[in-house]
Amino acid sequence: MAQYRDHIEEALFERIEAYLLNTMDASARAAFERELEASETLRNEVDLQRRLTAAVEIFSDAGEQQYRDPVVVKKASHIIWYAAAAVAAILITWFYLNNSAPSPDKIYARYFIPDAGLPVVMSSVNENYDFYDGMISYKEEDYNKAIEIWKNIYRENATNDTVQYFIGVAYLNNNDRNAIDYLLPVAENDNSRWQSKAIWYLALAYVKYGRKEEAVTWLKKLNGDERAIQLEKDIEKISP
Amino acid sequence: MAAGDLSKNRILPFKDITHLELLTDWPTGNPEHILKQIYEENYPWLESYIRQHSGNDSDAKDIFQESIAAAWINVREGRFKGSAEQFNAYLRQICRYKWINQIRSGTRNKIIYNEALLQQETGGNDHDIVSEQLQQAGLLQQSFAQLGTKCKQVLRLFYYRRQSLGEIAGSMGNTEESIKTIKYRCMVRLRKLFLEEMKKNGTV
Repeated sequence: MAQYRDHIEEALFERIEAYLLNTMDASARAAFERELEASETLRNEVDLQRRLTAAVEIFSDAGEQQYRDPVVVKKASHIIWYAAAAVAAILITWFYLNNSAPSPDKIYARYFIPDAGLPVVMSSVNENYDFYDGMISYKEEDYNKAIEIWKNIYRENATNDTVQYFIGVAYLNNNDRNAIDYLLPVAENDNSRWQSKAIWYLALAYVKYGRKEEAVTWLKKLNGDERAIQLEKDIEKISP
Repeated sequence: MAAGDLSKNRILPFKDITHLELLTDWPTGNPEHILKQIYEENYPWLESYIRQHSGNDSDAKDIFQESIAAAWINVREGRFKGSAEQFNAYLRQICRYKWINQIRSGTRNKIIYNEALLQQETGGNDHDIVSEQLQQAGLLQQSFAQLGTKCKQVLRLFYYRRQSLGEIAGSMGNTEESIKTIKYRCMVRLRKLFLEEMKKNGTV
């Protein structure tokens, strides 16, 4: 029965991948094959990576087979009826919603676009590994993991406004009202490069959680930003 | 050549070659194209077979998905070697085994198979091996299903669609380095999930 290590380092992973995908040059390949002959652990690791890659290929395909599935075609007539009913329901809902006062959630959804995060490049990873480790989780939309990593940094340095800001937006992306606790100090920090973005997301968080007066107060600090003016007008339409 | 240049590789059509070299030749064997060909050559047969043996098209779809997964992983691991014809025969053997086993297990009891027929239909003494291959494919599928949407998307584009890191970065509004790191982390996560599933099943 094969034994495997608990973890595989990135450098080894990339070497095995280059071997499997034949992107190694001849001398590197020959050296790798000599290592393979000598090490059972490495052979097991190569076999495992081959198996995992094959799994990715085949289970990615399973998600794409619909277009060539005759069962789907045969059910098309039913689907048309379901689709027509769904369109009718959407139209009725749309008509109703557009003739009634907008809800905070609706306004929030109209304006909220998640912060894309910071680009991750290898040099920046080396300089500040933990922060960018969290940023990779953020970009994977694993916001809980990102928050967990960034909170470890925040505990050691509670004045780091970049970490504060990104914890705040990660919470907001997770629909968690803790976002306000982290965005507020950055919005109040005149020396922070994240201040205006923090104000915008803080105002949106206030809208989402029904605190419209506070939302308007913060939006006015954005000095005539077009989006802020439009959002303020929409907030006024929310029924009291 | 960098790993990101894979999409520029020559892609051989499945039906134009006599051996499955392309399946074990990872750089040129584009999975999307090969799988489409395998599907076209075998799925109509399976639908007909399942209908003849008390099943319906939905059963055929399920049986095919599980069987092709086991066969595909085995070929990619280099454990199966043979011609395209032999591969189709091997895949159909797994399909038959899977279907007959499903009937025998009681989930389907409309017809009764005797042991002799089972031996004849599924190739005799290979039951344990096929069963093990199906079980492993099942564990891999469970592990893959637990990955997040973004992981599945990056892995699908790189390994299945064979897009370069640059192309993926462009379409996802990210840098090439970020995509490379995300890909690595997602594969590490898949590895961890799979090893945990194996431990639970006592296979590692």
